[in-house]
Amino acid sequence: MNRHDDVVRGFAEACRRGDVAALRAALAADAVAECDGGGVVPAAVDPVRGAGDVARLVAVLLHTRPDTELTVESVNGRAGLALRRDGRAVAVVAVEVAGGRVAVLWVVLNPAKLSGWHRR
Amino acid sequence: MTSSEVGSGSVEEAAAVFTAARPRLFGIAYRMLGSVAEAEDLVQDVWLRWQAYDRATVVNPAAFLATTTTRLAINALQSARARRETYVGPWLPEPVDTSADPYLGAERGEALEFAAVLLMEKLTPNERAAYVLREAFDYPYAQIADILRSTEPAVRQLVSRARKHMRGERRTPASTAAQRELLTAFIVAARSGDLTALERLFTPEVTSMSDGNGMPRVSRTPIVGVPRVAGFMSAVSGWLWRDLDVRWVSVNGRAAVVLRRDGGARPIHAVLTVCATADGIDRVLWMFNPEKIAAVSGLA
Repeated sequence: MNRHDDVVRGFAEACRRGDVAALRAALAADAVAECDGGGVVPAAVDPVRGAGDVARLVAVLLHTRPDTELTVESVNGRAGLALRRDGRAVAVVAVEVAGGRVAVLWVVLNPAKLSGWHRR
Repeated sequence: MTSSEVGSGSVEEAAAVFTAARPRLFGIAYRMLGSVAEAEDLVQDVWLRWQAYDRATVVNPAAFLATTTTRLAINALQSARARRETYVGPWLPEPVDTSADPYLGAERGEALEFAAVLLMEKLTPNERAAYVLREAFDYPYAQIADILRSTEPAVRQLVSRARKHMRGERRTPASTAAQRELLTAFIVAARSGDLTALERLFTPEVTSMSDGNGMPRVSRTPIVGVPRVAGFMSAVSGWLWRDLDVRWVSVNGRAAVVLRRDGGARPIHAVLTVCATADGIDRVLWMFNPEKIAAVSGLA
């Protein structure tokens, strides 16, 4: 749905700026982030709950530096996020939107699950 | 070519049949396993079996391949689940890039969203298979029964249980604040007749219902679907909101507005509210029936 796309695009913009306050505002108060690192890369083992904690987590995990690129892409049929470093996918995020805000983030960090997402 | 070679079919023929069916087989396997890598391995296994099989005995190759894929996926899911019990941290599906795989994304997007794939993890393997074949690929119940070595009534049961489970978990109503926001956005869009803005606010099955108890100019049948509800709201925007005074009230704990004519001088014209889920507005409720809205007059 277009509304979903708009929210995800706005969220991505806040990620790129590393703007925690904007991230927080784009998240539902009871937002949840689940990270799958597969025990291979550092990731939160339990789901992170609440706009404040999720915003801080996202600011660290999806933080863009000169060598990283965050793009809005079609993840399982809906707009989601992909973070790449030198063309290698380091995170792919599926997003659920509720009432115009980001409600759930499923953050896939496990390298075994990102092989299809590398570019170049 | 001898008749026996024609009967069993050449390897080229077998490959052509398999290649045509492959996107669908992958679609079934991925939705069953939530893993691109495991789905690819499984489809490869189906190809090896298809090559080795006595294909002359197969009347409907596409059905045969779908059956083999589904049955292998049910077995694979059982062992995958056992392995996932020892997975470190939360297990999430392997995301698929739907822009790179147009078949997966565009043709039948059902049961593909991340939330859906995650929820399907809670179904039994048979429920999941029946749900995927029905929702994503629209297989007839009789054919699903053949694939699952079951009966048609039993498959209907499986699908209905799975649907109930998926709906029950997903249809989380929007919070009160979100619902108020959506109602505000709806009024702004409806007033200006902004078709695009209206369409964006609605879930696909949105319904507009008016309780007017047979009053003139009040629609007696519900209006269903995004194009019709948005189209209707846009078409009546020119006169419906003229001279209307909009005042916020809380009805049954949900945000609603009271609408009065002549800038609030006349008695209540209608009470309007919306029901919303995580995906947007799915009900627009208009109460025109004077008896039912009289109680609200004290609030406004």
